[in-house]
Amino acid sequence: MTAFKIVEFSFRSIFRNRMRSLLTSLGIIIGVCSVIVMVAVGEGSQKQITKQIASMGTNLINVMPMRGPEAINTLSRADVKKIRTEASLVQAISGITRGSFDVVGGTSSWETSVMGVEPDYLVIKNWGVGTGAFFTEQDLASRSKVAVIGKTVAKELFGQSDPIGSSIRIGTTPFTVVAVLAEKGSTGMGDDQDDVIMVPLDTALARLSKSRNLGMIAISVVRDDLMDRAQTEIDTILRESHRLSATATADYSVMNMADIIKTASQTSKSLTMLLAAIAGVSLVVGGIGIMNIMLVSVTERTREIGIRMSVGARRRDILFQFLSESVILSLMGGMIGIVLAVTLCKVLTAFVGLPTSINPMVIAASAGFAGAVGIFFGYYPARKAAGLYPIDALRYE
Amino acid sequence: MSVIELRGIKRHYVLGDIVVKAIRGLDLSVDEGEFVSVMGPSGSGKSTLMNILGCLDKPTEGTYLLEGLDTSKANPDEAAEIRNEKIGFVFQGFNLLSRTTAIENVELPLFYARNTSSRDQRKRAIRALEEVGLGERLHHVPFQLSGGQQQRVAIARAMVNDPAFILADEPTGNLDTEMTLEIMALFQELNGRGKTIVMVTHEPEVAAFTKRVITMRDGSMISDKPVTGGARAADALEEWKRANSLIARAGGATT
Repeated sequence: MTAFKIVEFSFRSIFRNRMRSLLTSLGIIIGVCSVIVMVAVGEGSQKQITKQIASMGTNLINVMPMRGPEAINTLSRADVKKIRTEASLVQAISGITRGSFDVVGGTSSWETSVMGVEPDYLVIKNWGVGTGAFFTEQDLASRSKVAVIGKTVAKELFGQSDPIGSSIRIGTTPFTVVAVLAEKGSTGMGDDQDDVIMVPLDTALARLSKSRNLGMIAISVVRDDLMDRAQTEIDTILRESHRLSATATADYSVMNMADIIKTASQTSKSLTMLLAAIAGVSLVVGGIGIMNIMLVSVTERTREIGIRMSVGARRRDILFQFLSESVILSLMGGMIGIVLAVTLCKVLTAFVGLPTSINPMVIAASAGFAGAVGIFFGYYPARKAAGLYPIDALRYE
Repeated sequence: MSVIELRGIKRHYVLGDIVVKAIRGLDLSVDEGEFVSVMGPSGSGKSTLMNILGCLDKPTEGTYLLEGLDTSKANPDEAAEIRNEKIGFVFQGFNLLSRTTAIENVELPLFYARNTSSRDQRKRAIRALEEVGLGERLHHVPFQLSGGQQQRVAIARAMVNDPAFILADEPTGNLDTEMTLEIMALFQELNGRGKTIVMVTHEPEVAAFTKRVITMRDGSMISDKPVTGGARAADALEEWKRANSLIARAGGATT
């Protein structure tokens, strides 16, 4: 019996029970579809995050204090000053301190993130002011109690009315609103970047922060291709400032955007793998569904097997017939799953706005896996069919 | 040379502690062109005999030579090949594949045969169906055919590989008198063309259309007699139809 004939027989028996075949493949359809969609969504959002981080500027360097139970935050205003005066490759630099506060102003109150920054921060973030004017170095020096508020904060506290000149209270300290930031939108992770208040760094350190140390130093480098040199330069300056030898473990970390992108995409990659693995389980469950129906089918078609054996079908003819049936079932399920997944991804992107990125490798792998599932779970029923005794099979009612 | 040669065949089944002796030593030889019927009450061993003749079962003891070839040593795959090439089965329940056309049913043994091209298969299947008088119904599926016609398809399937003999198990058991006569007429016609046929039946009037009757009882052969008289099923069929039409006409006259 030729392979072609076996496949033809399989197709005929699959299409004889269309509804049942469809339901049998449903597990595989859902499995393949969910694997592809999960990975597509994961990779899509990973790409978007990467793109968004990159769009903030690939020339950024962040200096953070070391975190951990024993770490002591030692980043100070002095470090910022030293870098600003000594580093040759730094375009702009700002110390940052950050905290969450209840803010009262206008007609209501709002909890938001309050950042103490230097005027250079807007340059680093490539950000601008919507209305009003940002505070200046003088405001820092005089520790003026002025605040620049984000669009979201303006809306929450003042609604439609103009907040400039109004007074707000951050924690217990009253501030005067001098400007509203231009709208920036949300980050790739969904954080609202406009839900923020910026005050002069020294004011924040004096009035709001419990410590005299900085939460972070943000730096932009003059050119992208000088990142590595700039990083080394900054490290050298900080070691000097912190009185560390060249080999001692630093009590801070210098990270550039590439590192941050790597970390972010690593996280989302692990998440994608996890989702794909969960979806993969449903593929295996789909395989068990196929095995179940194939076992029923063998019982149901015992007589047919008997007839085929009596006219000369060998055991392997029967084995291959049932095996090819389960493989075709799972492969067809795989095909439908792929088509469904591609459609679903298009729908998700078009109507829900979820970024998706379909990887041809994933499609090939899940189709291959579906076929393997068909062989694995089809083998036992097929062997059962092939092992029937012709006499018993013929007599079976 | 004999087509079938059974020597000292025994078949014992072990069911728990009990040994059932279905066949207790049987010798039989069937020559080419014979038309043999095997009779006997149920439990006489005739079904077991038919399974052994059909290479569906192996004797516990003894040898079975089919066209001189010892089948007793065949493994299941070799037995499948023997069934495919040398034996044509006709069953009581027809055993056609449902939802499969007559021609595809007849082609089935050819699918499992070696060395047949698919065009050749079609041609042979059509010829076999024409021989049993179903040349007009090649593409009918079993449920569109009468019992007699289904059995003809089964006979065509049995003949399509040009086997050494046709093995029929109660081929008329599910048929009414007219269809029975039709099928027996067909068997006689095929036998007349040289086909060897072995038929298991428990109806003496059916056995009367064969040439030799073997009677089994309790696992042994108790008689082996040639049939005298040479009744022709075709004639009986004519008679039956004439009688029926007379009855119909008479019935019509009285009402």
